[in-house]
Amino acid sequence: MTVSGTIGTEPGSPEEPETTRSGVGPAESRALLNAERFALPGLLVAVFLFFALWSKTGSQFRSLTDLQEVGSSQVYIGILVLASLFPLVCGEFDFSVGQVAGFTQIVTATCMARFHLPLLVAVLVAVAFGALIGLNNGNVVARIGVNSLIVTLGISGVLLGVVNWYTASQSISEGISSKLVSFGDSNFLGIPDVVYLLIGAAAVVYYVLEHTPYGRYLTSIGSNARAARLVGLRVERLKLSAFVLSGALAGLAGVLLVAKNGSASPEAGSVLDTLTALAACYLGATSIRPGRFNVLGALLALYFIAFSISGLALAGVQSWVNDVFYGSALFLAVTVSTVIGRRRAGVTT
Amino acid sequence: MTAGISWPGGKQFAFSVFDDTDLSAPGNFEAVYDLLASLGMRTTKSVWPATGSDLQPRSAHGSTCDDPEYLRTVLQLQQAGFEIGYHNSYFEGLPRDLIQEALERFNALFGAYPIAHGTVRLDGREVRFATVDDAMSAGLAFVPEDRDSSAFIGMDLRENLSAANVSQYWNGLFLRQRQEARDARQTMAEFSLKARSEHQSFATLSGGNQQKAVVARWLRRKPKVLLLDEPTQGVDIGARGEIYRLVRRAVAAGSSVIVVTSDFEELARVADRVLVLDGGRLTAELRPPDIEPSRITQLVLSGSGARSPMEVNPS
Repeated sequence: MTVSGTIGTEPGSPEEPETTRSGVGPAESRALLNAERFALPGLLVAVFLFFALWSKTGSQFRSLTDLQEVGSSQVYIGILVLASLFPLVCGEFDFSVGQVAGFTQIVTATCMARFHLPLLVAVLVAVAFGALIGLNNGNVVARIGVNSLIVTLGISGVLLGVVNWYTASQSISEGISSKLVSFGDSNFLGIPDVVYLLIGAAAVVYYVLEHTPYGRYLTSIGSNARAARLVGLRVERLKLSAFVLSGALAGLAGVLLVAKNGSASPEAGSVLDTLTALAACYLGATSIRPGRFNVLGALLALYFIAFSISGLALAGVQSWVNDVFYGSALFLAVTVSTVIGRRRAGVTT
Repeated sequence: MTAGISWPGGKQFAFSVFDDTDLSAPGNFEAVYDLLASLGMRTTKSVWPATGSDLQPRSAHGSTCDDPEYLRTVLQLQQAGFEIGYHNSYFEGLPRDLIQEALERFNALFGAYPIAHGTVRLDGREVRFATVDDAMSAGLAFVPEDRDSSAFIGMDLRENLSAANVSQYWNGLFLRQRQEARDARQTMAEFSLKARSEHQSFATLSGGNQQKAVVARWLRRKPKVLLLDEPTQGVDIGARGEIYRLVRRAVAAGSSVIVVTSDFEELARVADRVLVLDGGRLTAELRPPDIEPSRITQLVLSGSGARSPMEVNPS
């Protein structure tokens, strides 16, 4: 199974009258498109206002510490979202991002705790390990042609095993750079430092995907790999690079995991985090630029889910609801984006 | 070269075996080929160049040229005058390295399929292209037969139009998307592309407009040679005329255009020179005023009704 970078679309049937296919008129369809585009931001605002004003949750939900907590707790997943976008845009899955982060948090902690390397070196080593794993994934997917879902799930299993072997299932909490830990929970102008990092990284990924030929090339491959090849794109090489970027960003996410937890635990960073990130990517693809994976949509989706869950928790809902919420968000997001893709392709079901 | 085919040994006609039937074990097809040969028929054998999970599904239980005995038989067939064809030259999703490898292997064994004889010359110089990119840089443009291989359905019209010249809009810092949109609007006017705006989703355009956009994508590059494979298949009459009008204009501006089509009416209308191929061989050439649908039909049929003796299994 591969995902389509532009979701669920099929080429038009050959014999068509000389008219556009959508049944609705231009004004009507523009209104529809705008409704579609801004549904998710609207929903985010609605959920936010609801929990902020509801007497049962309001006072705590509105409190600065709680808002900061929600903001910073999602940064790690936010980086995983950015990591997932590169392969998704070119029509592939990277299911390993969560586990790569789980692996590189151990790498980061080990560099500092065991080898007493400076923070910067530890970060670079973690990112390099992530990129290396991405290179391996990309090689197998793009050059040998193995299904990306299988490859990256397999690698996840291997990494989980290696983490448990190396740490003997023990957390590493001594010898972590205090600079890193304080970066994880300090604020600037009331906004957590790590949120600035996420915004910065998101801006870079947005720029690369939307404003460079490279981003356009990846999108073309996701849309139609055969056609991309025939306009001269080096499809294998480009896919490979998407996996390397994905791995490097997931490596960075591992560092943030250490910053957030103040330690490296063999249980942190798993395939479940990948699922959350994918849910946000798919949900985001229903918005801002409907039918396409996009940075802003995905991050809005992530915070929509985060604020919903935080509000529900304050309302006294039990924690298993979170899992159900994430699961249904993923399910609904994929369904809705498939329907949007179909409709945009003019295919009726 | 004149009309009519001359087969080796003065045989009268050719016969093709499209041989997924042989289960590829020499014993299975030899008898069939012997019979055909005794009847004076010339035959084709297509082969799998190499064994590999993708190149030759193991479930097919066939032999490949990796099997020395099989290869010996095939080489004997080739010496006996058989055309040797190539199985599965294209797979959706098959990495190019593997295709390349299989082609090179086939080439080493039997002589390349893509260029079986002769050379390709551009501006009098012999050319060989390793990649699509190379061919594009040399001035070639190719519009494939099906839009499955050319349309970026989920992207918008503007992106489809500039798919073959994206890098031109890169100023080192940003893609100049405004310029790109301006160019798209200009192309839309030039090609009478019917769309609400340059940002309309490609999926919602009619087949005719999609095809016009794909042709426009390549004409933008002002190609030296434009290759059109069945350019008007599944395109409405209006768009057909439009496409050829613009192709004509490109010719006037100095492009050479090679059209492959099975629509003889159309061929007679658009071509300055018609070559009839039969089984990969040039069998006739027409120039005005001889280019007429009935004449073309006659020449094609007089190719003794033979099917193409070299058939690539496209599956």
